[in-house]
Amino acid sequence: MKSELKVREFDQFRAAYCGLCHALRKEYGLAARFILNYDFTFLALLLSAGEQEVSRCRKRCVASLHRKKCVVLGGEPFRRAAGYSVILTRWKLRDAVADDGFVRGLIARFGGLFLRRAYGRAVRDFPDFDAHCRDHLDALAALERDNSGDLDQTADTFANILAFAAKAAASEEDRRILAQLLYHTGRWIYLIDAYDDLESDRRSGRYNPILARFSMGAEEMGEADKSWLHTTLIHSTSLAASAYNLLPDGQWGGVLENIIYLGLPTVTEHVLEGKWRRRDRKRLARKETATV
Amino acid sequence: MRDPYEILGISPDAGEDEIKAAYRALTKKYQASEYKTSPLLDVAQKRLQEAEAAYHAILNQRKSGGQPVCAAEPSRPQPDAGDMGSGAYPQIRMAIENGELDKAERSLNGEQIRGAEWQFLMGRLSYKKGWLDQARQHFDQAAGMEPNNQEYQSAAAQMEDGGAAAYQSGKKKSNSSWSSGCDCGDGACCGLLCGDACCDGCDCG
Repeated sequence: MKSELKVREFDQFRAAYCGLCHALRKEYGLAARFILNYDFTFLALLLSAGEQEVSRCRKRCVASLHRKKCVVLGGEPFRRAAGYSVILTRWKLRDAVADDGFVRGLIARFGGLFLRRAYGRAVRDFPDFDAHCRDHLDALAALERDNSGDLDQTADTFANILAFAAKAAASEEDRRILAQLLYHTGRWIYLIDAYDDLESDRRSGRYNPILARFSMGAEEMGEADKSWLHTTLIHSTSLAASAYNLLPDGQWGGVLENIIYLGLPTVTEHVLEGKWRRRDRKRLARKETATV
Repeated sequence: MRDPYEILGISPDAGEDEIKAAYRALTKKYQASEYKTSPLLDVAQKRLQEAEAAYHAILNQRKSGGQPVCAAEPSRPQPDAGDMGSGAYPQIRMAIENGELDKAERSLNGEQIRGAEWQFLMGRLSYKKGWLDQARQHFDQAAGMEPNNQEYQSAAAQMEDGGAAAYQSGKKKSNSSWSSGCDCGDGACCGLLCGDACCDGCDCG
């Protein structure tokens, strides 16, 4: 919720965004920089939750070379987020090659080629995440082929990809907390995306877990089913919040609390009311990057 | 052993009211109802015990004028087994509460008779896994089969509520020292706030 962010927190988020951009450039080369988005920034912040020290520096920005920006030197969590982002993008592109029509498939294929070097380096750094990602996305593809109506199992497969990132935590206790936080964030992302795509998937006949579970699209879905779905989504966000509450207070507290307490529930309402279409979201993101 | 002031999130020269307020806020946070059924129950209980120990250590120290002495590390609490059922169910219930989810799932799938208690335990198992859609279906089944069972009813009610309590009880204040200035030695760097004017317009990527 940008409007709810204090100036300081908005600066924090922006510096994290720039920090991830620089981490991608430094670790994985120029091409990797183009995969940067707000979702990956959120991942970097989640991995940094509870961090006590954040160092920052002014650096030149690739998009406006004449100006220096305040950038977070996020250290290990940001390096990890950068590597994971590259790997996730690579596998997402592979799925796009398999699923989409010729033209979009071709674009995805070029994207894959473009990222090849970055991907190679990311696999070298995080081979276990790459294998984990591939296994789970394969399992997800198998569930999709079976037109699985098991909302929990499909979401679980996706959520576990993110929960894997918790293994870097310092202690077993922190690992369990972070895993729960990442799991329910991942579950929410998977289901909210599925609802957002519900109508377009129904029209084009693509697989959609919510369509398979309720056997109807967003428009013909009754209030009872909608409310059921709403509850399960909000329940995941509140489990994520209660996991987050067990982490020690860290430097990223303000901005993370804003996303978890305000951002996720608000997006849930908007998506379920049909006010948040993917296209709008892209336009919004473009507008925001243009204005800030 | 951690500094009790650090545990309560206050400075060593905090007044008595401040100590009490910090202690109360933490107690409220860790005793929140959503942890009762959470896989992180043990962590929340441990945090609660730490806060209690820290609070009493500070009070004792102030009374005696010495150094704060923290109580020994709290032991891991044993999960409450709840209302024991019959047959294999007490063991399955124990396995679920201890986090042995695979074992519990195998046992439950092996059961032939699937009554209210089976539905309830399936609900608990699903909940612990984070499978909230199925958990709610199982709890609803159990509650429908035995409308007088308080445990089943409250489990079903909690699912209907969507764990909304977390949003009321949680919210901690962040103690970010973000604006405290520059931490890289050379003059080209700056803290975020002091450099705000030049930071405007980050659109890298």
